[in-house]
Amino acid sequence: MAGPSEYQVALLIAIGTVGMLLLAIAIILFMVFYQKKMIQEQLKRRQLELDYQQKMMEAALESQENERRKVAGDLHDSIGGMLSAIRVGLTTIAKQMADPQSMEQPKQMLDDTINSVRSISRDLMPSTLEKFGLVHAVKELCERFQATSFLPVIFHEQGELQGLNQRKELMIFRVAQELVSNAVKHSQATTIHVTIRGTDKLEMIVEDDGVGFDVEAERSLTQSGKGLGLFNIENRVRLLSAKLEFDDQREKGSKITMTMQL
Amino acid sequence: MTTLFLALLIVRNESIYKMTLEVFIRIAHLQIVISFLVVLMAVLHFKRRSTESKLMGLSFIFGPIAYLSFGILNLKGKNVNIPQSIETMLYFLVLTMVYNFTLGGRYKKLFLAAAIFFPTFAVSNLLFGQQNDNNTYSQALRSIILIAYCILYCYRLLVDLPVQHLQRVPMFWFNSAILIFNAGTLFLFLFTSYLVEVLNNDLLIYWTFHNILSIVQYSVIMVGLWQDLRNIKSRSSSPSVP
Repeated sequence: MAGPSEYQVALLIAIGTVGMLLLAIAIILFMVFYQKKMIQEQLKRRQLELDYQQKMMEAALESQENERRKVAGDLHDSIGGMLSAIRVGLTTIAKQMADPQSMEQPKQMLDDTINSVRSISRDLMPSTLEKFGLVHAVKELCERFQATSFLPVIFHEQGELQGLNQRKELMIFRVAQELVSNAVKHSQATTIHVTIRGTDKLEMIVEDDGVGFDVEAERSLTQSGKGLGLFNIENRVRLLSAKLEFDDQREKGSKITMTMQL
Repeated sequence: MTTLFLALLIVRNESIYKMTLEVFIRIAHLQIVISFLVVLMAVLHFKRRSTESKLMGLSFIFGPIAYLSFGILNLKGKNVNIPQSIETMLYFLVLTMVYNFTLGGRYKKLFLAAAIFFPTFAVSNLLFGQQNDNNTYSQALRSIILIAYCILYCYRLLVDLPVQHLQRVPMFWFNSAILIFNAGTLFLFLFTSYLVEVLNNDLLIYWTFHNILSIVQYSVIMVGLWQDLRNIKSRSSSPSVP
């Protein structure tokens, strides 16, 4: 029996080749489209996870703020009120005593305690923020830090801030509070400048002439669970959809800028 | 292209055969020129290129060298099959290295087994099998193994999802080129021996198709090398991360 003719072999080669080529092209196309689809799915999943994390973070911060508000209220109204009543009582008793001077020292101690309670209460929930807004609250914050640390904390205000709700104002205030507190505690600076600029976007700058710091080292400290300051600041900045920049080109000190669209 | 190939096979007349001989030589020369271009392109910014691109450039040096050696050996009346077999083995070994590197040594044993098995088969085929004929059985086996490599790479790419834009990965282009060439030439290699020995065919049309597929392969590989150059440039222009 004769074998296949040349024509049959040619046809077989042609069909086989076309089949293989189509298969190869199909594999490549499948890979391209499937990969694209898988990556889109992955991005969607990541976005969902990110949204969930953001919501969790928001809830945690909210409950923290609520707790602070409650403690601040209790301190101010309950303990503060009672201490003031005791102060009035002491004054009355001192008037009836033969030696009213002997009551001066307890009165002084009580005054210091009342001031401390007020200060803690203000730190926990600044009433100025709710009454007069962010700029006044940050200005007052600078004054308080200056008074307690004896370090010039100079506040600058440029432009006019508008369009911020109370929740956002509180978050920005917390960022300012943490940044100034860090500068006072760790920078060894001689002067600290806090600037708030605002027209169509808010820019808050905390600048010092101290020893500066390594952002990455701070971040790794946070990851190892040792420092939460930067972590909290970055979380709040993320929730505000703002941007935090660390000026690493400075020779001396540090400059941290938070920018947010209004 | 495939349709043209089919048409050439089915409409068989004298004029097409004559034309094919001229075309065959032209296309063969064009193929050699393009393979040189691939090597030259791989040499550009050689130090900064990715390892895959360096190895791809290296793998295409063997083809033109083997081609040039045919002429010299032919004039001296020596066996031209030996350089071709060496080229087949070296090309295969370099590509095995490329895939082993790209897949991060995950299938090291598999690649090692292939790197031992294929040269053994090719040498056996040269000594005891097809001997002085074109060693197409070795080439067919090489194509099958390379297709398997390509599919393995595609699979890993789908599982790992390393990048968002596949077209920016040079290895994606290299892999596509190798897959298309080997898938397209597999049947040709499988039947070459039968066509020559039983049907006494001169293989001009078949080998012209083979050369055209080679040109397609080189062109796609050049796209990958160009993409690698773009990656180098974008890496050097972007600021370094502190």
